Amino acid sequence: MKPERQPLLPITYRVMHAVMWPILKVLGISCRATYELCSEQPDRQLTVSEAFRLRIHLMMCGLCRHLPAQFSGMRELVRCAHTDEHGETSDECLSAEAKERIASKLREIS
Amino acid sequence: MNYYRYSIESVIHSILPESVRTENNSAKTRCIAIANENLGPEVVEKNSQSAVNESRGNTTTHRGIKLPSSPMPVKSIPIEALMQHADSLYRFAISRVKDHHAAEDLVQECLSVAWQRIDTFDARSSLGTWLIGIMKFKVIDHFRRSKRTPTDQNIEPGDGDANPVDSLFDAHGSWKVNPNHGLEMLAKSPDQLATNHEALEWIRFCLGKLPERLRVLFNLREVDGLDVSSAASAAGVTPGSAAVLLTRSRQRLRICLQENGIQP
Repeated sequence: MKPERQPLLPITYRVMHAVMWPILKVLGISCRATYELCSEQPDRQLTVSEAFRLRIHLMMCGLCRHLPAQFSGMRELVRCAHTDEHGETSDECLSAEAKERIASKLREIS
Repeated sequence: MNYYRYSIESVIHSILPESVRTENNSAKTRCIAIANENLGPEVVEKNSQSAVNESRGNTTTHRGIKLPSSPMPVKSIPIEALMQHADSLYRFAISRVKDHHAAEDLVQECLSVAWQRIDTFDARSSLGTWLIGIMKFKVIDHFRRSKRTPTDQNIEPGDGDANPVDSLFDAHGSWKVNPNHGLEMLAKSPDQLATNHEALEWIRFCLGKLPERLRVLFNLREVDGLDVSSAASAAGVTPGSAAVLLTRSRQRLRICLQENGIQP
């Protein structure tokens, strides 16, 4: 699949951020800060301040609103891919010689 | 002879920790033998009778109180029952270590430990679940053995030297690209994700592009569900580095998926 050309950002987003970016950056609620919080959220408990800033930004920014769902969806996808590749339906098997060797080792132990 | 009222066995029972008492009966026997060498024949006879009683599964006394002694462990599960799980253990191992020979060795180690401790299997979970639980620890041990000692300097080149986020945002912290383009399918339900074979292929492709250490750490955290400190220890990185590396792994994967423009 060839990468597609990225579509332009919505005009409302560009106008709002052209005006508001200093305030967002000072308050720590820029899109970048939000993105980093979303990617750190699975590994640690956010502080009250961080959680509040994240919530505020997600309420006001339509582009970032889907980030938490994207990260959790990606985690699900990784798990599904892993199960699909190495699950019960996989044809990966231990060789007969290895099985025999392990069984004889167990008999030695007993 | 009141001094010898308590058998040597009782004394050993009271001073040894529980784990040693239960797991190392042979050591206890050796201790009794060594102690008997320094005692008179009366005490020796008493001790030997106590040992016989215990080996028959009879009750023993400890300071005058009757204690139920555990019967000799009976290996009621045959080797064949364990070997039935060898393939699933192998799949579990090779999915983590990505090396055929290491996976075989891990299966052998896991089944050997399971066979030695089969009497501790209490059937509260299935045998397969119990074996997978042992295998998880074996895999973690494998990674611990193969990685160098954790340091703060172990973010290798390629592990995350360039911050992948830089390409997404401008200097003001605003998006340069639409973050939702090409990733709409990630918001779908897990069932729909599981049947989206194209997405599964792409996520495997993107996982394969991660440096080995990042991939191992990411799998331990996301697939095996270990907490950050355990995953860090197993992958040979410090917990502080692990948090950074995990975040970058997620960001790289997301960027990779977006670059390839996966459609719902």
